Amino acid sequence: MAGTLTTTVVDNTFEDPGNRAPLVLGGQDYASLTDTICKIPERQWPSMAWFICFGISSSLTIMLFGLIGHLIFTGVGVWGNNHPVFWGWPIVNFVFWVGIGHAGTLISAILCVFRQQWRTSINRFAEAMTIFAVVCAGIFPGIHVGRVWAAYWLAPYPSTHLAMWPNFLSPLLWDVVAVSTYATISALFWYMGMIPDLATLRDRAKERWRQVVYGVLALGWTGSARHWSRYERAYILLAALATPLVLSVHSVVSFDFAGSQLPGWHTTIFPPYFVAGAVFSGFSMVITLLVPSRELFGLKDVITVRHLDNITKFILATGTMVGYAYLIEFFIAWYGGNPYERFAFINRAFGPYAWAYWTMIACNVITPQLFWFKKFRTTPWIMFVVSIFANIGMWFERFVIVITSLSRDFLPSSWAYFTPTWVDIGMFVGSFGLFFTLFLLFIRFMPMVAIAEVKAVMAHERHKSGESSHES
Amino acid sequence: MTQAQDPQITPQTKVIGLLAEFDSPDALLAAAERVRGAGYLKTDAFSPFPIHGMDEAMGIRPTGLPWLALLVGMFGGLAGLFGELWANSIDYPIMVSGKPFFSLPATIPVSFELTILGAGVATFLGMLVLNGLPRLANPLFRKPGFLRATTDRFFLMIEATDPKFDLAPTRSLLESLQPLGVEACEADTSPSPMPKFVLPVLVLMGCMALIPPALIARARVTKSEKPRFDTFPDMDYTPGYKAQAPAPTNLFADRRASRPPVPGTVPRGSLQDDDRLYRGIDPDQQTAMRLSSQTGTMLTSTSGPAEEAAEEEEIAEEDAPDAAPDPTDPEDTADAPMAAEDDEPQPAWVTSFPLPVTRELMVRGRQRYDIYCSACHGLGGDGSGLVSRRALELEQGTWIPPLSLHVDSVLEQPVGQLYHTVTHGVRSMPGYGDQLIVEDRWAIVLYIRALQRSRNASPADVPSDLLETLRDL
Amino acid sequence: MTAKPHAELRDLYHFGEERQRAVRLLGAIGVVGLLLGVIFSLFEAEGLRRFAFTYLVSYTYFLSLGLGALCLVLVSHLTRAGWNVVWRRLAEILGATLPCWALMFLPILGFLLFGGGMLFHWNDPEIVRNDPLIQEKVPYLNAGFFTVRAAIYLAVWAWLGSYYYRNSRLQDRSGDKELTLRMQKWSGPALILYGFTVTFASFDWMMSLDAHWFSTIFGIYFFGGAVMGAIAALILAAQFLQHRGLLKESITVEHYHDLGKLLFGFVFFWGYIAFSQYMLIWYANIPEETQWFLVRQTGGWLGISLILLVGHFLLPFAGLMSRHVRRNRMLLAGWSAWLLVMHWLDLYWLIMPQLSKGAGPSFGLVDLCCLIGLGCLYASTVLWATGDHALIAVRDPRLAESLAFKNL
Repeated sequence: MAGTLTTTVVDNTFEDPGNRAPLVLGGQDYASLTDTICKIPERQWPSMAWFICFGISSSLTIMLFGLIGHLIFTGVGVWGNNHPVFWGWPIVNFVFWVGIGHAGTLISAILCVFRQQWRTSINRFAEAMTIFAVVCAGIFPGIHVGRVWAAYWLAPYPSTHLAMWPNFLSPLLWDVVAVSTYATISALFWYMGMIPDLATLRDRAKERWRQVVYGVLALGWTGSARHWSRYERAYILLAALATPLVLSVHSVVSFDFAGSQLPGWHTTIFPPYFVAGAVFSGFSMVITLLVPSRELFGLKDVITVRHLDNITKFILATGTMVGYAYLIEFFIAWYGGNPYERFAFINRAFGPYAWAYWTMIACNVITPQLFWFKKFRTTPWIMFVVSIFANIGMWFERFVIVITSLSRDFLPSSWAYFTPTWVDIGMFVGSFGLFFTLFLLFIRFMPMVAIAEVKAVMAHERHKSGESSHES
Repeated sequence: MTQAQDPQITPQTKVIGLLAEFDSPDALLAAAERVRGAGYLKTDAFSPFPIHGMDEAMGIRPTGLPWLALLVGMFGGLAGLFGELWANSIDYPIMVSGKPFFSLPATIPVSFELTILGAGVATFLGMLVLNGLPRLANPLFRKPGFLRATTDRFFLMIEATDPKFDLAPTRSLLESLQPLGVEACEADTSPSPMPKFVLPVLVLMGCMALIPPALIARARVTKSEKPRFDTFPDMDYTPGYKAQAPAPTNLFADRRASRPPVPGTVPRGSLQDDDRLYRGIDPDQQTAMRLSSQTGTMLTSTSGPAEEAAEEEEIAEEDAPDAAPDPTDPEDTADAPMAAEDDEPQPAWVTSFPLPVTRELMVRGRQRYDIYCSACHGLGGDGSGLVSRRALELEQGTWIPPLSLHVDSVLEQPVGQLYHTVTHGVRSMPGYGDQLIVEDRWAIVLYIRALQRSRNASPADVPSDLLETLRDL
Repeated sequence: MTAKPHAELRDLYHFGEERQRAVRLLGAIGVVGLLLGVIFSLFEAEGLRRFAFTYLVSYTYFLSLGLGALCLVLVSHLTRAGWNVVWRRLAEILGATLPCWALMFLPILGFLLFGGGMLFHWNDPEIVRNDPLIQEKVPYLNAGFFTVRAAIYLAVWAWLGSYYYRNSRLQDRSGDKELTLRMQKWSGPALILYGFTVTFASFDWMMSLDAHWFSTIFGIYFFGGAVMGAIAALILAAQFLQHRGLLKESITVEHYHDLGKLLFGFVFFWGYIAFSQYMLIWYANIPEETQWFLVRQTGGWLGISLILLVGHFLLPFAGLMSRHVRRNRMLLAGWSAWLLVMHWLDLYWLIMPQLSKGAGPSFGLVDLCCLIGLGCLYASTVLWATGDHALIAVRDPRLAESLAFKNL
């Protein structure tokens, strides 16, 4: 029974109906799998490449915080926000990052609910990405309020000098609650998933500081069956709770726009359309990070081409859903007969921001269609390139929504073209720095694959192969 | 763990259980079943990942976590719902975009998020608490072999507290399960005195933790003479000066921040030299009236409109000392009745329109009326506008219903007086002079006249070709 | 290759002789019911117009069950699902009713082509002449284009439904794994076609009843309700078959548990979509959109709206939350039946207020006859589509996985 797995199957992207293709390759057993993953954070010194990346990303992070300081001490005039484009890049960046922050919980929660076992190899990775993306997202509306030092007014506390409450009728406040709830639950979910793996790191640690740090973080986990029983129940519960949460968060973000009366913003399809777009961008970012990581850290047996194949299928599906939403929006803008709405959409496609619109269409709807072909779904560098396009496209989607609708509103006398300033650009680039800094720290110190969960999948596969060998 | 009472220094150990080691999940599962079959209840299995079927094998009952999550989640949701309603509907009712105070749909997103938040946090913390975590010190961690329990080894433990536990027979039972090895797990029960520095540090930390709440409590009961700290003084105190506020002496000699117009000049568009058009007053009649009032009564000049009109007249005289003669028709003055019917002397309102009455003006008037007036006076001028109807519905007692435009007192008013009312308001009605240009104000007056006439129209007012179709109706 | 079923399948999976009789009997009742409906409608104040509207409600109701089932079939192929093979054939049969059901669209086309604005007010030249907004939409909303579009939708569905049923039955005989791969390959493009046709069909047949109103989410709203209805129908169908001694061992409590989860999921999805639509229109408060809800929020229709809120969402959401309910056959069947009623009410609520805007809801003999008539015809179609074929995909390569399926 405890024999090694057959290593003859290499291409696990083809599935013979009736026999599930294996998800862990290379004849890994529990010990070697543990070793493969744990040795990454256990290295004495990370590689040169890591240091170079970290140097760049942390410099960008410092630039971001410097620019935030500049913004706070000078005022929001340093941005390109104008009249009537009051929302500008900060909100574009916010929605962009929040969208990326959706894949993590989607992979963990929704795929867990749908019993997709391939999620186990990539969920830790994606959850970490979620949290870092939400951190980046949270910065922008935070500094966009103008008077950052009064941002605590958003919280409902019995205020003595305002003598009033936040306006709970405002979608912007719902957004605050939704995104902070999402950040909290995602962080809990991520941390809870990591507890058994942190215990593994603790038990393997040789240096004292590692033993102490991982020991404290692992909370004294022993792997007791009684603990596992509650742990698994809690995990499924959190997944079941996080599933509607994922839907709700980006729906609430979409209410920020769709609750208004602005042409191009107010349309009822926004909630599901935003969710599909968020999943699309999140999965794209997963591919962007996963393809180099599995190459660099030798994780090809754990994160196999089959995993990538599945992710690209998700990208294709959600990209097509987004295309559906674009089309329906356009059709209803005509069908509704409202001249403002019609104008807003004609203006998007053929107005001064047509370049942005067609970039969005090309990157979000057309490029993912490559994934109809298996060749593209199984070639890592191609999917890497496509995922970069998808990231660009999703940023432009938010740009198109925010900027085009605002820049040409009801009143032609107030129309204005939006031009970003160097601060806008610097902050956007800096947010990538922050994201990658956190991410690099994560892969330096934390197990980047959910070891315990992959082992459970391995046990399941072994169990099945044992059974089938019984039969034959 | 029961601590030994005797304060000895020599290390004491106590067997807390027997630990059998296996190399596969299936072996562990089988062993767990056997041990349970042998009647042991206080057992535990340790594995690097959850093993399916282990709950049944060990007889672990389903956890009550879902109920906890449901309970706390519902609490979170209800707290969100009632908190929102209390904050925005009861404590500080705030009307936003015309929504009712109790707007349930708007409370759903936040309530939903708080439901999930409550349930999620309860699930996580509940899992930890029920599992007795965090527990950083565990005798099992002292066993070097046990470290592999989180990598690739599987352990079964029978605890010493189990009623059936007896070192030798239990060990032989475990050994019969073909484990890799069986070991006794010992806990160090020797008393370890608490380091001396712990207590003072704890006390100190406790005291320091009280400082912030104490400061807050103090700040809430004491009054401060000092103004609030200005984070950004230039936003609180802008460099611009208010129009009539004193400015530093080095700005202008008279220390006024704004400049009066140069004497003898009139700003563009402010030369409102036509009293009939701009004020609705007939200057010729006015002069005549003034002459007569000088000889007559001088005492009744206390009422508002009259005073205002008088003031205005003066301003008009100031602004336009050499008013050009108006192009008024002679018959205008001829059939002008005296506007003042009460004791109050009224200015000499013009009784005909000082600008050409055209179809366009009427259409414009109707449009402006519908926008600016109909909200209170109603589309037909009955005083039954939406605002008024709603205000009466609320029964707050503070609303003064607008006048119907078809009552005699309004019907009798000359157009100049109507124009004046539109411009400056009357009683609780605000003036619209700032929002409507002069021509539009006259257009409204014209439309009001049309509305009034429509209530008293005779067949002669209707064109003869239309009259036929009206009869059919 | 012989028609040897899977070794672990130890069930009866064929209907007996009574099926033929039932097809004819139900068909006859259906025709009589519809005729009675037409006759009764002649005595109604609204005349044939009432029949047209109520026919549309019942037609789309049964259509949506087939469409929802077709979606389940396509998605299970797309995702290579294994657990649901035991009941996938039932969904395929519901999907295979679509070719027949396409013919039942002819009366609606008749009302359109010969009834003027009887059903769709945008088809009344008199109304269009006085309505600049509808004039704008004439390039889309005209009888000719409408007919062409309807033909496309119905043809696509009929083709998809029969394609998947046919190939699945071919596999019953050959056990060829290639068929599974082929069906999987085409499920992606099929879903895209499906998505667009269902969306535009719901725009055409339901949204355009009020030609002024529009909502971009409408297609998804209809889709959510349709899939929920189909799952409920499948649960009831499986229980009905088991009650008659068929598939007794194959479909276990584990499958019901998962179907229950799906049902719960789609109850939530429908609620999410319905709330999104209502919330955004309520919040922005633009008259051109709110008028549609205003009709449904005043007078008698308010009651129906509240029943939908409670009965279509809140109650079943709370009721299906527990796994004990989902694993209890009687309770699950009860909720399925309840949700099927609610799904009908949902369509009734979408369509009927356009018949007599001011007046409240009413349900009379015409509606009853039409519902029963079309219901019997639909049941007859289902049984006819079943034929003497197996009620389970007997040689599907993933059948063993499905039979052994257990929830965690």
